[in-house]
Amino acid sequence: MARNTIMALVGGLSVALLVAAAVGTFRVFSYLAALFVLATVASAAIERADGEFDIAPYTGLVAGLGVLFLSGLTGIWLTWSPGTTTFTYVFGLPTSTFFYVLFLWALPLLGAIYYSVVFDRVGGEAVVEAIMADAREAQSEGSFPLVPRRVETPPDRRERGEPTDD
Amino acid sequence: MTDVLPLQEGIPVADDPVILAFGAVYLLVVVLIGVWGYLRTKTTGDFLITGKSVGTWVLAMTAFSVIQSGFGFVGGPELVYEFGMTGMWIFFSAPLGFLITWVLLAKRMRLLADIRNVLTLADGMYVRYESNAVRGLAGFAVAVGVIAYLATNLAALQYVMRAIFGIPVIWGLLGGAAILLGYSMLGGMIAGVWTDFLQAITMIIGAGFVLAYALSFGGGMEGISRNLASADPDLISPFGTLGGETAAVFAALAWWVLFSVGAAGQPHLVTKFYMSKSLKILKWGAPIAAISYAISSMIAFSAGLSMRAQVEAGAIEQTFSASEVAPVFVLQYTPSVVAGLILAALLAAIMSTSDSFLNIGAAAVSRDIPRALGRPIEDDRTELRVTQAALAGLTVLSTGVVYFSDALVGILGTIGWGFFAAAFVPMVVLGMNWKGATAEGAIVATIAGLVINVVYSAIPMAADVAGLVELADVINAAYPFPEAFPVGTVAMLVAIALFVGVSLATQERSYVPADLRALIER
Repeated sequence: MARNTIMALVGGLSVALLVAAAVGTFRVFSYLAALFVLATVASAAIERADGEFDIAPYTGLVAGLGVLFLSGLTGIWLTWSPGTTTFTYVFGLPTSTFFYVLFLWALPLLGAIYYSVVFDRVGGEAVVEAIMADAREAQSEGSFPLVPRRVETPPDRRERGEPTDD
Repeated sequence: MTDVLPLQEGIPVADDPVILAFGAVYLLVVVLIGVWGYLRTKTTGDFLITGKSVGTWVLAMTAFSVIQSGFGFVGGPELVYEFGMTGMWIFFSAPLGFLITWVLLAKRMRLLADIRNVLTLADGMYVRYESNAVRGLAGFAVAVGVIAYLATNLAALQYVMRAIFGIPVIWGLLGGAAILLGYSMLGGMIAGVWTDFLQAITMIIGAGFVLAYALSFGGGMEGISRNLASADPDLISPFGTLGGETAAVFAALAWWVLFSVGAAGQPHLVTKFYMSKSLKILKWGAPIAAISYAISSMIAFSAGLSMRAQVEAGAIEQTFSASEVAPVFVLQYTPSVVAGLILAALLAAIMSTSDSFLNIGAAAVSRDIPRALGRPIEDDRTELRVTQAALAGLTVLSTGVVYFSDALVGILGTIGWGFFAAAFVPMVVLGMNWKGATAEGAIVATIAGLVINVVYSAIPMAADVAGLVELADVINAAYPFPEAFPVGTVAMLVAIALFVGVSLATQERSYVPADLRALIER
């Protein structure tokens, strides 16, 4: 899938959310909201993608959050609707509220830990060195604003072909 | 967090030497940190981004503490007390926001500061789009948002100072502003991040105590839930009661979107990435910040629900307004030591957010806007002094707004989180991840986001204050969403849609500087 198509999906979901809110379809809105959040996370990978639907290294993160959001929202809608007045309780909370607290708040915290575990794939030393090398090479060939001043180390005597003490 | 409802109704006075001692020690320590920061600040880079000197824990804690403001500690329990679970969709969504911010921006922003000599968000957007219009818009949006946010935080600060020290509100305002100005202007962001670190620790410990005491006070979680359910089942339903059952669903879900995705558009948060020693410092920042915030959000959840449950059960009498729920709870139902710690934490929450606002606002005035207008301050030492002067000017301006006009504080209070989210999520978050983004898309999206916030949020409130009720009614009638549906979410979604649409329509003008291509591609 071309990167512009994926970004168009993010834009399209924004419009869909506005429409769903305007027409008052709150269940549809809830799932669109989840898709929007997931698509935004996935957009971190759109320039990295090697092929269609490749959102590595965030595939696990997006899939995991997707399962949690789907479970949480579906759990809420299966156990609650406007007008519900009686509840069953789990850990002191109404079941529907428990679905919210567990799946949409507590368990997504694990996503942050997962991100730290895969961090080296996007921010490891090799990745950083490659990015910085490409950047410096481009800067040596062109002129850009706010480029840091670099103090070039002069070549030593041996590199200049001059006699040395040893 | 943002000021959805301004904290104008006040806080009771503690009149307790233990609480006074906590407050005094806390303020003394932050001033000392300011002096220490002054001794380490030599350049504008030191002042604005600490000279890239921050490590993992300090960075994560400062990220958490700038997002957790006085609103979270006072406005949070207030919202939850008033509307049940609706408000938790703000405070339970923010931790997800840290993850999203880290995924989308941590690497991009940190390496951008190495590839180019960027010190502000507007600097970063200037080098990304190579457009002075984008730079100027970013600087303008930061300046406006900062004045708005700062005024509402100072409005809260004056009451907290009064609560702790028992002084008149005016002295609370002037004293609090003077201390904030002192350590922010002296020590810049070096002092800012270390006071934030101290403030974050204070908030986490305070929140832990509030959770324990509130659950005990309310008779345990199930006791709280059952009391609320018998009074009004919607209070403890997943979406709460704000605006009615169906409207509450939309309000809650819209806050979920705004406070998770919108976090990545908060300039006082994302510029923290410039400050880390290296990229690897950011590796564990997301879980530390997210879990810290999750713990601190227990104040809103537990104090708000517990107090409402006890009132509904008839165990206590409601002799306070909703905005006084948190201070009344800590002053009346926790020991003095705990109350002192929590009020110091509240002071910390307000000041840690305010110093970051001051920092980025001053930079917008001294650096971003002059450069966008083609009038940069070339000498670094002069730029540093002008930044410090701008910081003082912003503090005086915001203090003046609070002193002279409660109405203006309220109007400005409507320009907050959603304002920044609409301005910066498309331009910064999507723009730093998508090579197809264009300057035209960024400009149109930012202007649209700002206009929607002003038209549907600030103008109706201003019209109400000015007695132009009919104008406010006309604007509100033209709002095509449920009344409780936050304007900030609408502004952010419209801005994103326009950003993508205009960028796609102007693809022939899409451009990424050669030295930034690898940063966006990998």
